[in-house]
Amino acid sequence: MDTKPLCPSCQKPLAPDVRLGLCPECLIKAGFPTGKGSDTGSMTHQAFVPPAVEEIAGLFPQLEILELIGRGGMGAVYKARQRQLNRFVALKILPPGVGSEPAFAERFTREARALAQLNHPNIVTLYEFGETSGQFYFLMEFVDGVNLRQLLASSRVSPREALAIVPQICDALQFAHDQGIVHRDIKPENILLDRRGRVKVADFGLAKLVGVENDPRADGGIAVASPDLTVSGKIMGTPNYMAPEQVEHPTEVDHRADIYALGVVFYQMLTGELPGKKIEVPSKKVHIDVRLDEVVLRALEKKPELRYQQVSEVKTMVETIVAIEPGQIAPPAPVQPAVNTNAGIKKTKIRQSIILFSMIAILGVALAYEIIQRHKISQSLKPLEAQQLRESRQQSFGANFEKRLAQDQGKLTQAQLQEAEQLYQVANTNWGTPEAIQSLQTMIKKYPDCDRAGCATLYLAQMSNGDDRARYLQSCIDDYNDCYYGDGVQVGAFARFLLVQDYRSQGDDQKANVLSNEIKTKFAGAIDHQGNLLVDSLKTDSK
Amino acid sequence: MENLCRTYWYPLYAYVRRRGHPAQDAQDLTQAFFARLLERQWVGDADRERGRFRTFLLTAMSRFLSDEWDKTRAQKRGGHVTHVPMQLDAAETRYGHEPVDEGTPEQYFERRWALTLLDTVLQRLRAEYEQAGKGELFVGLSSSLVGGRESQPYAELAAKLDMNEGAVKVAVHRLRKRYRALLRSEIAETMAAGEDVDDELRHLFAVLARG
Repeated sequence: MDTKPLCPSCQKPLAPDVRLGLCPECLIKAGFPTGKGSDTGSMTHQAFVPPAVEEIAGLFPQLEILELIGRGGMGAVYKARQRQLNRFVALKILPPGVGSEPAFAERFTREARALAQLNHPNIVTLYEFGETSGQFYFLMEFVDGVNLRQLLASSRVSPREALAIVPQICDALQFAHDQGIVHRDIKPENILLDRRGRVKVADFGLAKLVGVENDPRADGGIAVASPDLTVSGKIMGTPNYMAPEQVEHPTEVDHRADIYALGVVFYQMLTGELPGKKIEVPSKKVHIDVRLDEVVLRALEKKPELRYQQVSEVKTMVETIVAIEPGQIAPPAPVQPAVNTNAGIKKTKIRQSIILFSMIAILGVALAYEIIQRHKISQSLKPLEAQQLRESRQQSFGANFEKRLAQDQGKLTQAQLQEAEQLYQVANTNWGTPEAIQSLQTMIKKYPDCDRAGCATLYLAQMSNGDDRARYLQSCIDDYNDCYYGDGVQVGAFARFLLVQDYRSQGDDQKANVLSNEIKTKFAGAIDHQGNLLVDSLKTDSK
Repeated sequence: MENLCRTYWYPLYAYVRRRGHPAQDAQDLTQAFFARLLERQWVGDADRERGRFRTFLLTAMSRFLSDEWDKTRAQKRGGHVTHVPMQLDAAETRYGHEPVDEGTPEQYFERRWALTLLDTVLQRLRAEYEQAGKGELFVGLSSSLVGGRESQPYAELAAKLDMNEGAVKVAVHRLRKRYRALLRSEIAETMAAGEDVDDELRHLFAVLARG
C-alpha cells in the first residue's frame, strides 16, 4: 500500500497496530473531560452544548428569549418573557435525542401532568410542557434570586438561616410526597431563594423523567453523579446527595430518599461541608444546638426505615428546637470573604442584603436584625456606630491609599497606568477564568512595583489552589506587605488572614497560630474588604 | 498489582527486545523480572506508592537489566515461577510485526504502554456491550469514539444501523461517556491515589503524537 489510511479526525496516518482501526491520539484525546473544569480534574459532564439564544427563539415565537441562565446534564435553562402575559418564565429544554426512545413521549406527558399538579408556594410551578420540532421543553416559573449552591459558595449559611430555609423545603417536599411525587434530585442547585427570601424547590421529578441523574446504562457500572464543586481531583465517587438505596437500586426508591438528600443539604448548610464516610456531628464543627445533631443524623440514616418517615416530622423537630429557646444566639462563624472585586463586592452585598432583608418578613424583626448585624451590610437599617467606625477607618487608610496611588502615578506613565488598569478590569469582570489569571500575571510582570501588583497577587491567590495559592499568598506577605487596595485593605495583613484559614483546613495549627498572632499584634487595625476588622473575625479562630 | 502485570507485560517485553536482547533472553528476563517483582515486594515499592506504575515498571526493569543481567544469565533457562501468564511465543511474533521506527527503547516502551492501555480499555468496552447483547451496536458505533461530538456523521450512522438519528445521538453519547469513564478508570488504576489523571492523559497523548 502506498498511501496509509488517515484518521478522519486528526488527519494523521493511521498506525496499523490499534484495534478497530482507530487513531490512538484521538482515542486519548477523547479521554479528557469535556467543557471547563479540567483544571480541577473533576468530571464536568457538559457534553451537551446548549443551542444559542437565536436558535431557541426560532422555536418559541410566543416567547422573547432573553438569556441562557444555566445548563447541566438535564438540559439548558433560559430566561424568557411570555409576550402575551408579559411575565418572566424559565424555559428548560432537554438535551437532543433524549426523547427519541419510543415510550418516552407517553411517559413524558404522564409525568409532566403529575408535576403540573404541584401548585405550592415553595415549589417552582410548572406552566407548560411539550415538544416542538423535536425539542422537548418545560416552561416554568422564573425565580429571581439565587440558588443555595451560590449561597454556600459565597458565604457560609448561618445556622439561623439554615433553620429558616429547611422548614420551607420540608413543606415543598411533604406537599409533593402527599401527591405521590418524589423529587429524587434534591441538591443545593435545585433549592432557589427568591428576592423575598422564599424558598422554591425546582426540578421536581425531572430526574426520573429524563433518566439522567445516574449512569444511563441499565446494567450498572460507574454511577457518575452530579459533580460537587468542593471536590477536585477525583474521578469517581464524587460526593452526592443520593441516598444509598438510590445509588444501589435507582428504580426502587421512595420518598425517603428525598429525606436523605435533605439531610445532606442541611448538614452542608450548617457545617459548610458534605458529610463524610464517618459522619462528624454538626455541633462539633459549628456552634449550634446539639438537638439539631439528632435531626440531621436521623435524616442521614443509611437505611430508609431508620430515617424520619415523613418530611413533616423533620419540620416539626426543627421548629420545636427553634421555638423552645428563642434567646439563644449562635455566635457567628468567621466571616469568609466572598467575592473580592469591587463589582463583586457590590453584587454580593446587594444579593445578601436582599435575601437577608427579606428574611425579616419570614423570621421576624429581632432575628433579622441579628443576621444583619452579623453581615454588617450597608443599609439604612445599619447601626450608626458601625457606619462611623467604617468611615474613620477609611479616612486613616484612605490617606495611605492616596499616597500610594500618587507614588504609582509617579513611577508609571499615564499610558502604563491605563494598561495596568485594563489588565485589572479583565480580571475583575472574568473572575476566576484563565484569562483573568493570565491578565493579572501579565500585570505583575510588567508593573511589579505598583500597589496594584499587590492587589493582583492577592487576587491570583484567591483564584488559585494548592501550591500556587500558597506561593501567591507568600508573595503578598514578602513583596507587597504594605500595599493597599479597595477601601484600605492591607495586602500583607489580608494574605496572612487567608493563610491562617488555609493552614487550619490543612490541619497545620502551628503555622496558623503563628500567623494569627501576628495579625493580632502587628495588624490589629487591619480590615477585610467588607470593613470588618480581621482580629474580630479571628476571635472564633483559635486552637 | 498482579492485574496490572497481567495487562502490561507486553510493553515491557517489547522494551527488553528493543534494548537489544534476543528473543529467548528477553523471554527469560521478562519472566524473571515479574517473578522477582511479585515474590519479593520490590524495593521500589516506596516509589510505587507515590507515582505511576508505568514509570515504576520502566525504571525497575531498566535497573534490573543492568544489575541483574549477569546474574540471571547464569541461571537455568526457564523454570521461573511467575503468577503472570504471558504468551511469550505469541509475544515474539507480535513484536516482529511492530513498526520499527520508534526512537529510543524507552520511547518505544512508552508507546507500547499507551497502546496497550487503549487496547485494554477498548476490549473492556466491547465486552460490556457484548454482554448486554449490543455487540453489533458497538461495532457500528466504534468509529464515533474519535473526533468531536458535533462532528460525528450521525445521519450516516443512523442509515447504517437502521436507527433514527435521535437514537443514534443518544447511543453515541453513552458510548463516548462510558469509554471516557473506562479510560480514566484504567489510567487511575495504574497510578497511586491522588495522582492526576489528566496529567497522565496528557503524557500519553504526547507519547502517541511523537510516534
